Order: sequence, then C-alpha cells, then structure tokens
Amino acid sequence: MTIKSKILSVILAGIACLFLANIYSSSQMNTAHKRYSSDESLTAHSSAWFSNLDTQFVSNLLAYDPMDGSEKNASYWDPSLNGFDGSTGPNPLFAAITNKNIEVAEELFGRVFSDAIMEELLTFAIAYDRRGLQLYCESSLYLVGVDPCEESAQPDYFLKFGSFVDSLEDGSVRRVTQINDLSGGKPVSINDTLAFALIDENDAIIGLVVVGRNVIDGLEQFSENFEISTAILMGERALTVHDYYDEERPPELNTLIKAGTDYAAKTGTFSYSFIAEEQGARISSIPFSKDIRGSDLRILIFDDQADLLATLKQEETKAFLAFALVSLVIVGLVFLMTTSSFRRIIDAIHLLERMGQGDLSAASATSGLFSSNNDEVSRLQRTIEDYRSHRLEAESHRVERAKRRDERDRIMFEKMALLADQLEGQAREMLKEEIESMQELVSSGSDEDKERASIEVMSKAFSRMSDEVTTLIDARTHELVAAKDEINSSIRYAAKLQNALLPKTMPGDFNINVEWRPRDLVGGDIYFIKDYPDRVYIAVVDCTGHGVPGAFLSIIARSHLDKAIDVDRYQSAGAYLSQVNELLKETLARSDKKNTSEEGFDGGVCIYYRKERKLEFAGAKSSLFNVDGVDATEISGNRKSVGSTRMSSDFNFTTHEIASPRGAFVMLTDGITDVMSPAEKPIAFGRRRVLKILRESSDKTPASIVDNIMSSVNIYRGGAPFRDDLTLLAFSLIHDEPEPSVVKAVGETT
Amino acid sequence: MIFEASQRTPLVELTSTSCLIRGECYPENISEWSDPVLQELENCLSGDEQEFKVEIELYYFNSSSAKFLFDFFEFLEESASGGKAISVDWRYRAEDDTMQEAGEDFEEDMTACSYKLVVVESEEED
Repeated sequence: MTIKSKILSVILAGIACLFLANIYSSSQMNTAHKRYSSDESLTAHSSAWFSNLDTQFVSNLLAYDPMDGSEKNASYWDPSLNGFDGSTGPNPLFAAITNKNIEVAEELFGRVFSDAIMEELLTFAIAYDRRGLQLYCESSLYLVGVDPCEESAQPDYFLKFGSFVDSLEDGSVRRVTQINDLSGGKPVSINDTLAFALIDENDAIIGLVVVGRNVIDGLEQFSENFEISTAILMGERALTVHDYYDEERPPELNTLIKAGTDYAAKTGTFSYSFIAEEQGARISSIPFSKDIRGSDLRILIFDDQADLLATLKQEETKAFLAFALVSLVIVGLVFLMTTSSFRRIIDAIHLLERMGQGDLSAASATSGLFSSNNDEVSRLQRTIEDYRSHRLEAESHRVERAKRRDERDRIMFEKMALLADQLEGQAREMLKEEIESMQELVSSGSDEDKERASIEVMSKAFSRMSDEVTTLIDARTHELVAAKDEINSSIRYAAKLQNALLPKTMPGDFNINVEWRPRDLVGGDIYFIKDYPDRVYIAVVDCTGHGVPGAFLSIIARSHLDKAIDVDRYQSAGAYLSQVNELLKETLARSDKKNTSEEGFDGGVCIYYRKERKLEFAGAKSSLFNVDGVDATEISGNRKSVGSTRMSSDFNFTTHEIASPRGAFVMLTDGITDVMSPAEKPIAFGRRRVLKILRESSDKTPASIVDNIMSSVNIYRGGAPFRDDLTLLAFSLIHDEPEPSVVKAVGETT
Repeated sequence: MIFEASQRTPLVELTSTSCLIRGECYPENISEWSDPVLQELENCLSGDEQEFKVEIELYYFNSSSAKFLFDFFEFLEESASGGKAISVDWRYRAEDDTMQEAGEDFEEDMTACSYKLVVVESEEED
C-alpha cells in the first residue's frame, strides 16, 4: 500500500466516522425532539379535549345540579319548595315518588327535562326511585349508539346500583356513563353524565336523577376543529364515529388503531404520543376523562403528519447529500494534492536514482497543484538540485584531476624513458618493458583503476629514481669514507709518531708506571724521562688544547724540556722549569707576534740526584703526591702556567726538595682531577680524592697506585667519556738496586 | 640578557646591575662563545649604576676557559678602578676542592673588586 493510498484511506475512514457520528447525534436530537413534541401534543390534546368536555358539561348538565345548578332547577329538587308552579311547598314530585305515583312523577320530570332534550342540550334524562325502579326516561331524537330508554339499554352503573346510590349521598357526581345494548344491535353509548339524589325532608334518598350528554358529538366536533381523526378505546375494544353511523371504517383508520393499540401493548402505557412513520401520522392516546383510567376508556387521536414527515425526510436527504458532496470534494482535493506531491517526490526519487547510476543531467523541476516554493517537496527538489550541482562540480574536479594525473604520468614516463636511455643492455630493456606495461596500466580500466595504477607507477618511478640517487649517494659516501680513512690513517700515523716520542725504557733504579691516554688518537699530554748517570729528569706535561694542535704543542714542549737540561751543572728543578718557560715563551712569541693565545703547558718536573739521593720538584699548576706508609702528602707547585702570556719570561719556579725520598710519588695532569661526576651539578674528581686513594691503597707499588686511581676515575665518571687527555705517572726508587752507572742505557731513552 | 646553558657552556645572566654565571665551561672554541658574553658585559658595565654584583658558580672549566675568566675578572677590575662598586661571589661546593682552588687563584689578582669565596650547600654530592 503506497503512502498516498494510506493517506486517502485514513481520510475516507475519518469522513465515515464523522458521518456516523453526525447520524448518531441527529438521531439523538430527533429522539429528544420527538419526546418533547410527544409530551407537548399529549398536553395540548388532553387539555383541548377536557376543556371541550367540561364546557359541554358546565353549560348543559351542571344547570341541573341541586347545589350548583340554576335557582329554578334547584327548586325542583327541594322537597320544601314547589318549583313547578312557583308556590311554596310541598314539592309534588317528592310526593309523587313517595306515593309511587309514576305518571305524576313522569309528567313532572318531563316538565323539567323535555325542552332541553328537545333542544339537544341533553341526550337523555333518567329518574329512578330508591330501589332502582325507573320513574322516568326520556332521550333525544337524534341518538348515536343505543337509546338509553330502550328496554335493552343497560347503563354501567346499573351493575352496582346500590353503591351507585350510596355514592350520591354526599352530593351530585359527574361520571362517564357507558350504556350498552344488551341486544347487541347498537354500539355502546358513551355519555358525560351528572347524577344526583333526591333527598326528602328527612334526609332520606327517595330517588335519583341521571342526566347525560352523548360525547360522540363532542368528539366529532373536536376532530373537526383539530383536523384529526379519533377512535375510542374501551379496553381492547375500539369505537369510531363510523361505527355509530353504520359506515365502513376506512382501512387506514383500522391500521392506525392497530398501530395505536400495539404501541400500548408494547409499552404498557395508555397515555402516550408517538409518530407512526409508516402511517405518516402522529398517534396520541389520552384518557377519556379526567376521572377515568386510560386502560378502561381512552381516546386515540390520529394526527396526519405525512407532509411534515416527508419534509423531514427530504431535509435529511438534503443534509446527507450535502455531507456526501463536501466529503467528495475534500477527498478529491486531498487526492489531487497527494497525487501531485507524490508525483513530484517520485520524480525526485527518479532523479536520485539516475544520479546513483551516474547520469547527472538536469531534470525539469516539476511543480504541481497547490505546490509552493517553500513546501517540503520544493525544498527536497532544491536540495537534490544542490546535491546534483555538487556532484557536477566533483565530477568536473575528477575530470580535472584525471587530466593532471595524465599529465603527471606523461612527464614521469618521459623522465623514465630518459633514465632508460642512460642505462645499458639488459637493464635498459627491462626498464623499457616496465614503462610499456605501466603505460598500459594507466591508460585502461575505470577511473579508479587508472588512479591506482598511476599511484603505483609513481611509486615505481620514485623507487627507480631513488635507486639511482642511492647509487649516487653510495658513490659519494664511498669517497667521503675514503677521505676520512685517509685523515684517520694520517692521525693514526701521527699517533704512532707521538707515541714514539714517549720514553720506552726506564731508569733501572726506578719503578715507574704510567697511564697515558690522549682523548683522541693524539693529544697535548706527554711525559718525559731522561736518565743521566748522576740524575734523572721526570716530567709530566699537559699542553693547552688537545688532539692535533695539542700534539703539535706537546712536541714543541718536549723539545724545550730537552733543550733546557744542563747536565754539566747542578740544576735545581725550579731553575729547570724556569728555563723551559723562558724557552717556550721565546718560541711562542716568535711564532705568534700578537701573542693573544694562551699556548703553554701545566705540569711538573722531578729531578733525582742519585749521589745525593735527593729528589727535587717544581710545578706549574701541578703537584707531586707522595705516599709513604699510611701518610700521603701533596707538594704543590706554583700557580702559574709555563709559556702563558700572563707569565713573565724570568719567572722563577719554586724548587721543592725531598731529602730522602721514600715511598711512591705520583704526578698527573688535570685529565685525572677534572673527571666530572655525572650529576646535574657535577663535581670534579679533584686532588683530595687522589690523596684519599693513595692513603687507602693497601698496595703502594706504582702499578697498583695507577690501577687504583684509574679504576676510581672510571667509576667516578660513570658512563661519560673523558673530556681531556690524561696522564698519570707513579714512581718509586729502588734503593737496593746497583748504582745507575751500571745501567746500560744512559742518556736519551727515547 | 640571558645566554642559555648548553652541555659545554654555562648559563650567563647579565643585567645592568648583576651578572650570574652557573654551570660548566669547556667549549670547543672558547672565543666563539666568550666574545659575545664579554661584549654584553661591557654594555652592562657602561651604565650609570653604582653597584654591580657578580655571582659565579662553576663546576668545571678547562684551561682555555680559564683565560676567558682572567679576561672577565680583568674587565671587572678595570671597571672597579673606574669607581663602580663591584662585588664578586665565587661560589663552590665544600667538597669541590678544584673549584675552591680556582677561586683562590683568581682572588690573588683581585684588588679593586670586593671578592668573596662562598661555600654553598651541596644538594646531592658527598
């Protein structure tokens, strides 16, 4: 079921419901209205009928009432008056009744009633004595139904005459009297009657009088006045005017009577009013009189309502037609609106479907009945149109991209072809084949395939080119490595040379152990040992700088240490170091006129005079450490650097004399003391630690001293590399050894 | 003006009334680092301020940096002779005998400046 059919069905169902509700409510209204109009017509008919009856009664019957009647009439029924001749009593009628003089009585009653009966004011007048003997009866000439004075006529009160008489003791009684024809020839006569007793001076009832008036006349008159037809119902028995005139009842009347009695039987009420639609009449039922029960005697009133009912029917039909027409219009409009909207929606769906299949051609925007620019469908159409234009834009971007990609591919193939041309033999063929297959790839298949192929081609081309570049770089790197190797090999050779300048043999009466470690292959640290027959020179020197420049300076320093030796004379250590200073300053001043740099060295020298067994020490920012037994001491040199610009050429270094040298002596460069801890705020290893190690070393031989200090230094620096060249030299004197003259190697021991 | 510390050079903070040097000093090429520092020091000392306070806390310097320090102190001496009240605090950790001795060395050359050796509390060393 489409949404459109759903909407339409819902609307149809809604209208049907409304229709039903309308019918229901109007039927309710009708019922209420009918009930109201029933009550109203019941009241109207009752009051009209009763007033008709009462008027006749008052004007024709009540006049004979002994109490309420006319004065003249009243005098007839007064035992003490004689109304018949206008004299004062006694009343001859009473006498006649008492004396059973029926002829006289009849004659007297006749004088009272005959005229009225003749004038049709009364239908009949009957007089009885106390026991029910009819004294007088006179009835009208024009009678309907049975004649009350006939032998076969039997008034209803006759059945209970005794109690009827008793009921008159207290005054006259008005009642409806039915007089039946015992012979069955004539229909019942229904009369409005006034009955009263004749009471003598002893208050005894001596007779009674019943005057009556047939109501059929009144009923006819009533029917004519109200343009209705009527029927009298005595229990189940119905009487109509037609019955009294021996006419055939019209069948419609019979049908109406049947409808009326059926209604009473059905509802169990005897006072009602309803519209019998089939018969086109209102049927009302009212009691015959105020004093009689409806079940005993009532009147059915048939009010012709055919026109009214027809009009009502017509109005109902009109209303129904109007309702149907309005519904039809609403459904039609909704149908048109939904059809046109859904047609536009379906158009939009088709457009989207086409777009999904790649067709981006525009569709004419359809507008339908009742469509506006701002309704939902128009907005949908606009959105789709926007989407379509975005798709178009994207499509043109894609085309543009494909164009650029093709251009890129073209350039790449060009470059690769150039590359191929530069190659030779098989490699060239292979590359050419590769280019061909790649060209095929990027020129076939869908756009996506091409894109993927293009990227692949690009990556291949890049890897090709990068291979070439790598080859080139490899070649360059090779050159660089070769150059570096060359430099390294030069430095290694320089290191060999510098190493060759270090002393290789030691004086025989000395136990010397050295740790010499340039930070790089070569460095500014050197040590120097010269053995002469009478003396030994030992120097440990740290030239400024390290690496190659340091090494150069170290060679200069070494030559001056050599040159400053004066073996012919006693030379104190201080004098010797001062001499080196002078020589070095001279050399550096010559080489560097501006003298701005700080070239020179720190270091210490020891001179040992064998004969005197005397050790002398002089230091430039250097100390000599001595450990003897448990005691370790430091002999500090001057706080001046050799060769420094801050140093005068004639500075005299202090000579420290150790008269009888014992134990081990240690000389070192700041490569040892300046080893830093790895902390954030590091502290240098320092000379105090050196002294501590010297004191705490159990083995005080030079070899173990060097070992201890070096391992301490290595632990101290953690993983950090050395910052400087370092030299550590420890020596002790072997006093038991023969005189140095015995030693074979004399002089320069390099 | 602040010269940030590097692995081989100390932190230097210079204002018109103060100078702080802290860290280690052993650059490959001392003048490359020291020339701008000395230049800035000259600028700072050329102001009208009467006082100039110097704080130095070094953990290590190599021999070429020693020359820079000599030049640095010499410059301070000249300024102090010119009438500026210059105080120098040489700060060292008690257990750092190397820096203590270095401080003592420089003290010998200082006459015009008020020079003080200040022992500072060590944070983590023994």
